[in-house]
Amino acid sequence: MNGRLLWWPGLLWLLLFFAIPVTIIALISLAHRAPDGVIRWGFTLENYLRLVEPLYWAGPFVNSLLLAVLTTGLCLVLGYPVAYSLARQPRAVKNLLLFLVILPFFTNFLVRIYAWFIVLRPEGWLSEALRALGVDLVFLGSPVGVLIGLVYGYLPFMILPLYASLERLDFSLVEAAHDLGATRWQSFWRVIFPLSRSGVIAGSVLVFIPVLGEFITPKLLGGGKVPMFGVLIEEKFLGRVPDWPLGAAMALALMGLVSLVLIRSFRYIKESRWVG
Amino acid sequence: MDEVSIELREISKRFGQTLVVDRLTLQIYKGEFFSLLGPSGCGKTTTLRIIAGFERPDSGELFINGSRATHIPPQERDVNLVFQSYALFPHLTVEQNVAFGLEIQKLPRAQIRERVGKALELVRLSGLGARFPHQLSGGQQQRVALARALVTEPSVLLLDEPLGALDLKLRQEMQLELKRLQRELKITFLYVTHDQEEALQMSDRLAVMHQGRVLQVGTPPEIYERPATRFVADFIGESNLLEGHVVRTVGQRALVQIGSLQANVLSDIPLQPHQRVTLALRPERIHLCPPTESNGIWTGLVEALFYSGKETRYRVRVSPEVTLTVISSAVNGISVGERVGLTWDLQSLRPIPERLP
Amino acid sequence: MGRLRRGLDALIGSMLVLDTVLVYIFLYLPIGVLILYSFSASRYALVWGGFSLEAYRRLFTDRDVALALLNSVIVASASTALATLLGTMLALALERTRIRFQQGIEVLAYLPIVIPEIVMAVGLLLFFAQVLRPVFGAVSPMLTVLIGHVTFSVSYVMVVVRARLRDLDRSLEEAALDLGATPWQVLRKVTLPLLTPAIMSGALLAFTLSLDDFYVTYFSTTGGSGFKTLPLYLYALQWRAAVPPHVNALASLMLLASLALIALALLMQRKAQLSR
Repeated sequence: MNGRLLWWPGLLWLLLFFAIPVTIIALISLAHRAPDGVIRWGFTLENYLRLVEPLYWAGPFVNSLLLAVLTTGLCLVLGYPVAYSLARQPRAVKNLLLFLVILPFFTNFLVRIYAWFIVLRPEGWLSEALRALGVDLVFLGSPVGVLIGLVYGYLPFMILPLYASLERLDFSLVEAAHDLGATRWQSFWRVIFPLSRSGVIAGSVLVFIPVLGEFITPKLLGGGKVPMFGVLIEEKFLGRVPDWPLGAAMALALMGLVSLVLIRSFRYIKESRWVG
Repeated sequence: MDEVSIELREISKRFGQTLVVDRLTLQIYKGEFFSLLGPSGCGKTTTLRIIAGFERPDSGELFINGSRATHIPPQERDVNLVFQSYALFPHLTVEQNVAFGLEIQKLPRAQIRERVGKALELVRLSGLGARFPHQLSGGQQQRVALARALVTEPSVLLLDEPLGALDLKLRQEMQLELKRLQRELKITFLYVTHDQEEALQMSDRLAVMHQGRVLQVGTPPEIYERPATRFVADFIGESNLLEGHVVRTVGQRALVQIGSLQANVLSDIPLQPHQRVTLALRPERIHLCPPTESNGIWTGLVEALFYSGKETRYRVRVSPEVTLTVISSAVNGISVGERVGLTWDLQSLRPIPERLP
Repeated sequence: MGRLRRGLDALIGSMLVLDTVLVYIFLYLPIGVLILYSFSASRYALVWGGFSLEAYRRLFTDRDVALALLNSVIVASASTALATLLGTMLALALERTRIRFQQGIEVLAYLPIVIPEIVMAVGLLLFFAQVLRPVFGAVSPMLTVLIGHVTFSVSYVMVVVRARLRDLDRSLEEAALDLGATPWQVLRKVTLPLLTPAIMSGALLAFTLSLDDFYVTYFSTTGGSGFKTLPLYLYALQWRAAVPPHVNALASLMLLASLALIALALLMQRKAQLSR
């Protein structure tokens, strides 16, 4: 087979529209900000230095990390029992329930956020009901609303790898643990959980990474009042006071962070057989 | 007298650090049923794939029907392979599978139809042509694979453990079937297997392979009765292997000392006094008799006994360092702890010439 | 002690069920509310005002929506066609041929999937602004969006097709060669027919991703200037109390369209399994 012919079109495309753009980000992150907010070419590290300025960065950095960690944790706590219950169902039921988990995830992201917008708005019945119970929670424009949106958007990414690892688990091991006198909790904590480790790690990474770069959910459900990496990056490029070089440095920093997480967890993601 | 169909000259193949085929030289004649026999990982499948053209040898030359074929791509070789997994195209019907090679040759439609029909008849699958492979049983799939490989009338048919996936009964049936096909079609069959019984039963000649090398080539009786190496003696059937040294020789006869015991050996290989030698003795060639202390008959103590219906195996200790396995089909009421005498025909005790594996 | 233990175990068991039920409610609650509100007679999208089909009537007469829909479908169809071709070729190249720098190329082919979408979007924005426009002058926004969509879709198609290709019994292709087929005939008569289901699912995935995409579209059009796909249209309607009610209808219909696509995908998968 003439291999060259198969390679070139795709490779050329990826080089031109992926490798070169990413390189341009790197170059621009080293340039100066021109008065109009765009670029004056040059070589400077000032954009990166501004990234580590504590006052500037502390807010969105802490916000993003905290929200990403919270989202991942909540997805794990909510998703694990679901994945576990699913894995123990008979085949037909299993497939149907799994399908129902994935279904919302195939619908348009913005539509889903919009749906939450209806549910969470201050005059909505959810807020009314909570107010009647004496809880006055503001969802929209607050981190709580953003968190709900994020968990909703990324829960399937957690459940699927968890399910994949739990489904392969030999449940006679659990029976053996019971047989040896373990309680349910003990058999879970000492047998099931360790054996599903690769699924836990893969799921966590698959939730954590995209949430770090999120921009729509905080923008639409947070009303611009919950600054995250993604929101900041967008502002630097398409906001009222653009600063391309700083935005490029942020994007690259985000990519670096993500690569670090990915490299550390690649083995588990592969093991969970969920990617690739 | 015999024309050579396939010839390998000093073929070697490496996968990474492992030498899988090691300077292999072999001649296979036209029209014979030839087997490559060896344990898994001995290089037999790689050898077959080199002949089919799927692997390039690192060195050495391959000849098919007298012309050099080492660098000819598989689609231009006049050999067809029956894959271990059958490799039937799942998206094509039985008929389309069998017709594949003929369609590639762009034969007229009518001719294709006729030859496919004949081929299916040959493997006794007429009437199943419209089915898809997954609708067939394992044995039927095997027959389709055969028909597909045979229909283009190759000069050599390569078979890679074709019966490995079938259960015992079906396997025996297909063994007969393969022999019949080979006799009817008179083409060369090169058969790869790890099943020594299968190889002995079906082959005109066979080669025993181990660690990438051919240890012995011969007809089934030659291989069984006169194993050339310890490995062959042990892998083909079962052998008691006895280590000793030659005491003296008289013509073709030699007296060999094995620990505290002595045995007479009839040898067709030259033996020298003091030479170390390994003797092979088939368990079923040993006869048990009442123990007599006379003229050099070995005696021993029955240590264990395994009855399996058609035969009984005994483990007999004949000296502190030597135990022999004996297989007997006779019902003789011998029990564990009894002393027995052991006899055999002179030619059953064979010296192994080489100190190869 | 024993009773306490048993009680605890029973509690764990019922919590498992409870959590699973709650998660399913969580997944479908906003979707249900959205569809319900799309039948509201109120003049405002976020207020319930009795049952009516008015929102749907208004939706079908809205020119902006029709235009956005048309844009979405054109971009999705074109990017799917191109990405499927390029992705399939890349998959074949990666799995069946050898080339220099293979490992590096493999990483390049997977990167668009793993890096945060916003980074890729930023890269494309900069590429269009710094390379494409200076060289070619004004470029139509539809073209830039198309380029962006093909770029991320190629990798997804490649992954899907490659997975199937890896599972494909190599001896099938060898058998065809053995029977005299040239490598090109093998590709046409054996490999591609066997890959068809995978190529179709890859294409469907690319189509869904394109319809769903926000980040790349948004940045490729520098903030949605003029050119709008459905998600951009939805985003641009400043979400406040006065959202016109036909947005609910639009969102509901987009949801339904996604469901139809999945149903189609499943149907094709079923068919592919049957013919195996």
